[in-house]
Amino acid sequence: MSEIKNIRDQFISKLENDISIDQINEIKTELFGKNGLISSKFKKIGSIPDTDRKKFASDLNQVKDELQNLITSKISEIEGKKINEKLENEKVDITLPERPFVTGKVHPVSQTIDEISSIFSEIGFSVEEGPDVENEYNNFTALNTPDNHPARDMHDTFYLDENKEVLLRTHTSPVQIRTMLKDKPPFKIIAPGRTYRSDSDQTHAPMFHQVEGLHIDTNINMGHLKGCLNYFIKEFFEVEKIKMRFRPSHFPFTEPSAEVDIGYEIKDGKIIIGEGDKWLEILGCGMVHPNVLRNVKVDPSKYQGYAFGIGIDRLAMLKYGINDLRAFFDCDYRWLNHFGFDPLDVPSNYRGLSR
Amino acid sequence: MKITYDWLKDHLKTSAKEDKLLEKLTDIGLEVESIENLFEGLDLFKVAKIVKTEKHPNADRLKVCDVDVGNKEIKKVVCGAPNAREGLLTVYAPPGAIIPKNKTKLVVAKIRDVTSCGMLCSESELNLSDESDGITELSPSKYAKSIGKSYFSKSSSNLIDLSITPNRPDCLGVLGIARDLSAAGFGKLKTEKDKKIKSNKKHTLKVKITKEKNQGCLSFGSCLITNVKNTESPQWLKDKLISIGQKPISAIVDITNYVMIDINRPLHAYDADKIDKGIIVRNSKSGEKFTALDNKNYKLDDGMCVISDNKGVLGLGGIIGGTRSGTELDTKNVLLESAYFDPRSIRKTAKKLNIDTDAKFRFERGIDQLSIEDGLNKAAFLIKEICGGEISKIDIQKIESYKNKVIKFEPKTFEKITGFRISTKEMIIILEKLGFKLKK
Repeated sequence: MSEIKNIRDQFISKLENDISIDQINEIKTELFGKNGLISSKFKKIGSIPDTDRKKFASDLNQVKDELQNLITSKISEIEGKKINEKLENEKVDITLPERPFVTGKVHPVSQTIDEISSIFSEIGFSVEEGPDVENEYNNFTALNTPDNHPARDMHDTFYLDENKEVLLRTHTSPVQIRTMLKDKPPFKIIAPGRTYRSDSDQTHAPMFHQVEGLHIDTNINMGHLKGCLNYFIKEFFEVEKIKMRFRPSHFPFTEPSAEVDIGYEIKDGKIIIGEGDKWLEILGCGMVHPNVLRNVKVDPSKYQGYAFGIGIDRLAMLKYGINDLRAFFDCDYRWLNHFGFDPLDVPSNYRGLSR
Repeated sequence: MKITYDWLKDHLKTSAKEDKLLEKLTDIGLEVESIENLFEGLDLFKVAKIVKTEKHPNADRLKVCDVDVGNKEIKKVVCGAPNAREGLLTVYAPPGAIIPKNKTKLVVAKIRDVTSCGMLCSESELNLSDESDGITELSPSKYAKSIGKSYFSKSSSNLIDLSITPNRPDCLGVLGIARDLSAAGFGKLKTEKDKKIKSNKKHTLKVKITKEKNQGCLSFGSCLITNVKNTESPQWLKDKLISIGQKPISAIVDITNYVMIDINRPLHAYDADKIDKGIIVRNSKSGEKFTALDNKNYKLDDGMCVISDNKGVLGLGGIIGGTRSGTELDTKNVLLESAYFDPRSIRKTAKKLNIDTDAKFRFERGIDQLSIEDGLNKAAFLIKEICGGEISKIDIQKIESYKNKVIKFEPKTFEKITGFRISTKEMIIILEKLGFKLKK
């Protein structure tokens, strides 16, 4: 008994001194660690004669509880003191200015892609993607543009190998091929993305953006195409009425083909979309050529439909009053700051496309 | 493709205004790219007569000319042309006129202390020809009474530049455009048949198309016109070519160009006396050389389609002729070629040698194989009319006979694809106006 009492007295006096948390923890280990003074006493209980065992155990537990409680209260006492000290010393100067922070802006082209995707997804189109590096087959041959066709003159292609088998896609149309090969009809997709042509001036960049549209089903005709594009243009430019004309044209992958012009006028140096007597070409479209459908194992006697390709950069320029295409790719922070969009403003048809 | 409304009216009967035409062209897929008035300001250029010339006091090579510009007005003009002489009828440009060649505006200027009021123009400065050695000389018999009058005949017809898509080679000629317009309800196509050559005269130059793999020439039609006198083109022909921005060269060359633009039929005229024995159309051998009409030397690869004689290459079939057999003003006998070349072969060769010509542009898109005779008839008669001479029988060599294409057309498909209906009767009318023959 005296032994236990000695331990108790010795440690109580130790704990009553002004000691640090580290020291308390040391004491804790010394007493209750694996080979601590108290712990080793508990191990001895079994070897004590029956007569004394009960008393020994009860005394030991008593001392253990006493010491443990003391340690716990000591710890909370010290920590409380620390917090109080900290609160005493720390004061917030609420008159200080906030820290400077920089937000990124969404590039007008990305914004436009989001807007376009939002409009088309509302009317049942899903978004597909394809790689920028394409093979010659998907980019030309499958799209009914044979080897020697003069239409290949219209695209000045970036070829990536000597054999002209790998290239940077010249339009988003190869995504049509990929999608139709992968799935079974009906198809109703759009495919926005980057495209490349070896061409560069104020209105042409070697890299630019297009969105492809494809709708194939058993009964889709040019009327549907017209309706769809008319709806899109109205939604995109957020106008009630739009003057629009379909002008016959030629693409190897559609028959008949058309280019679409929208009316515009210039008032006080600003371009006004949808009215006026000037025409601006904004997209190419047509009914998918039966050869293209055959190339992707779709039966042209059962299925038919339309496809279109829209230049995204041109649309963005028109909608947001940007004059020079090259500015899109200059990465000038001031320009981005001016023309960019708040990343938290996600375009949607109900809340409005753009603010 | 450049046209004028006036030229279109050769083939199209219409009284519609030009702005309606422009609208219609774009409507039917022949997009109007630009429109330009070539004659704007040209009325300032006057016929004038040099009444006196003096040596310039401060320059050896310049002359000071007193020029009668009409209305009893005499202007002092400093001129450096060696042919400026008293009594010469020429073309005078007053201050304010814009010189067609370099687009500079004339002002009154002092040339070595002598004030010059306007300028006497060379044909080259007026974009009439390449003649730049002296000022224009006008024939007294024609112009003596026109002093003070505008030199250029007034033309209200604008130059219309059309962008023709690759699927419409038929519209690379004025006639084709007229046909398309008439099918769309704009005017009525004039269908006078050209005269056909009826001649007993033998065609004495032998033409042979070699039978070899990848022969690019499928047929070669020709006729000989003997005893011609090549000359300057008559005014109507010059005006036609100038109206679409081309330069007149000589009657024979101008006629072939005119027929090409008018009915989309490229032709080539050879000086028959410069051809050694006969024409051989064959594949070239690697290393063969020739000088083309663009004055460049070309070295050929294997397998390019060439027109040759015993001495060697005369020209690249359907792309460009050579200088050795070209026609000149003293050409007496002409071989007129009207052939059909495979678009693939044309495209391959032109791409390799980097040549672009009007003929190549048309052949690579596809020429009407049945226009061979039409072209020969039209051009041969014009040559006879302008240069005289005698036309031989037409000779047509071919390695493949042409078969009419049959297109199956299901009227219901139209509605199924477009979503609207037009009556079969109306479809038949349109197709027939486009030149289709229909069978049920």
